Amino acid sequence: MAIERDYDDLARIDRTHVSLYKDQGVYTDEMERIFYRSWIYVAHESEIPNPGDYKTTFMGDVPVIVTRSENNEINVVINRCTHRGVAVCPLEKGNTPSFVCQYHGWEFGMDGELLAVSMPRGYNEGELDFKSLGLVSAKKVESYRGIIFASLLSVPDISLDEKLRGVKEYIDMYMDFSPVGEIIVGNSGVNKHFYNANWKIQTEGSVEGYHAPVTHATAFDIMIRKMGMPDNYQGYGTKGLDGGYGNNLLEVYSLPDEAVYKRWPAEYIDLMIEKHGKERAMHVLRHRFNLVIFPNLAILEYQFRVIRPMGTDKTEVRMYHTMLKDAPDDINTRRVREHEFFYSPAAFGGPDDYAMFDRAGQGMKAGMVPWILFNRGIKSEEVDEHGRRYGGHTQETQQRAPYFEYRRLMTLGSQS
Amino acid sequence: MSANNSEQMTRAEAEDFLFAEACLLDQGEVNEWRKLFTADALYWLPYSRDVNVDPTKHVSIIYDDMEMLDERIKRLQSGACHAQIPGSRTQHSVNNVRVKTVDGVVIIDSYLTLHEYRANRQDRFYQLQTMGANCEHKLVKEAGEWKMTSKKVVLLNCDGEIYDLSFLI
Repeated sequence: MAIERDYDDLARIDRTHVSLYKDQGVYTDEMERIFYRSWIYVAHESEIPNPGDYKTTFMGDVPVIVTRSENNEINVVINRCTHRGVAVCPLEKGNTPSFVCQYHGWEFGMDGELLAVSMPRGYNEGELDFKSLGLVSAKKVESYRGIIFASLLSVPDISLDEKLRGVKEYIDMYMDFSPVGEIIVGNSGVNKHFYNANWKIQTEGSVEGYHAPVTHATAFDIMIRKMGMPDNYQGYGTKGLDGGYGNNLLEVYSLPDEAVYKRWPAEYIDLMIEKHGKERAMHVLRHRFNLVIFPNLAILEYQFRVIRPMGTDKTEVRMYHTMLKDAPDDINTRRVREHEFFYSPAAFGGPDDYAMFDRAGQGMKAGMVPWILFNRGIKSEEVDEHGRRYGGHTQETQQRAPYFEYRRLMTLGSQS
Repeated sequence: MSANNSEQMTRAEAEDFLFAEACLLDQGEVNEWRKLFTADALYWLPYSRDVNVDPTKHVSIIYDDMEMLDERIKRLQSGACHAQIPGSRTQHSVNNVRVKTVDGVVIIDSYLTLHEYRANRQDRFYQLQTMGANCEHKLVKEAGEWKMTSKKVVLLNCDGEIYDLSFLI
């Protein structure tokens, strides 16, 4: 019999209980209440640009296929033949007119519709209902600026528009680093990592301002000496922000105009001004941030980071490198070099993060030491003109933020 | 046009070079290993098996000029590369060596079997890692010594799920 846990007590405002990172029952609740029933990131439209293109991915632990059909509609279907449970699509990505299960030859369209079965005469009248035997479709699929979200089993209680309301300005800014406002996701490389601890540690860790000068002292040393990074991390004056519905943000920097000209070549700045207008272009170029779209997407300067829970104590992390459409080649090449400097499995930053995440998994075996603390800066939090809570970039507003939505979704499930 | 004699290398000489290089890496003689590169050399682990991959348009696992390789070595020796606490033991086994000379540059193609292990981790049971790779070493003679102008290591699983590669390959 299922125990109903008190998630308001386990995920408190200033601390989370270690059982949220360890217990199979919690994990099962997270799958059912968050990953199957709320907006989950599945793909970016640039990954499936042409009719017939598809990409396989996961919503929680459920394998799905994101497809673009002949009429350019985006579909998300569960990668599971309705006959005997076999995954109908065995590849990460590709282009196909249909999916044919290679066990018994059932053929499905890009929207999941069952089109044909092999040797149909073996079925008698009434034994095969084509209409009800399509691949199971996600209940809701929507995009914002090419970012595709889906909800698997039910229509979420908030619209995608509402879900993203508090962070749209940052998504828009990210896209507008391209002179034409478009990015290309994953064509320029995908880092495929995993670590041995709970998925929420990466969600929290993608906007971690506090750890940076400690864990990444060696990387910061190089970034300060060679990459124009200022040498007064504590004094950046940037924010950690709660963007609502679990979304949150770490401002990495917010540059004055003269520093923008040091950071970026004039040719790129001029092109940005020509395409976006001076005010918009400079506004975009001043910023760098890490943005978490709860629960499974983080958008960082060079990457879409996708977090996939694989049980209570194993997590896959994919970093899809992003290119700026129609930006000068040298800008995109610089984005390639700076990304691999910090994030590749042999890089100067990423491996140290995963060492810490592994060690978090090791330490959290101590279940009798109950609390994970997120109270740094809670007494000095302020509220901006949009009603968003914020604190300093090394404080923990952005780690507290996901748990507002976590509590909401985890307790929503107990009422139904 | 054939290259002159000083730019030829026999398979036995190529093997001697690769074995010696492997030995420096496996014995932790990193500063000596670094001296095997020319000043303008490239140390490259691509993220793709595609021989035509363009490193300006695709991220690599490592794409180091010698300035960056020096930073990498300094970081690994700093004691503050946390992924390397405890540090890796490696064993580079080199085989299937073939040598050719193209435009005065000796090119050695080889297979690499790499074993990697980190002992004395508090969580214990570190899984011994085994990796395969295709290597391409480009060599020139400088002051009578063979030096690498390029070392390219293409892992069999370069585009797969990787735990970490925080050690030198």
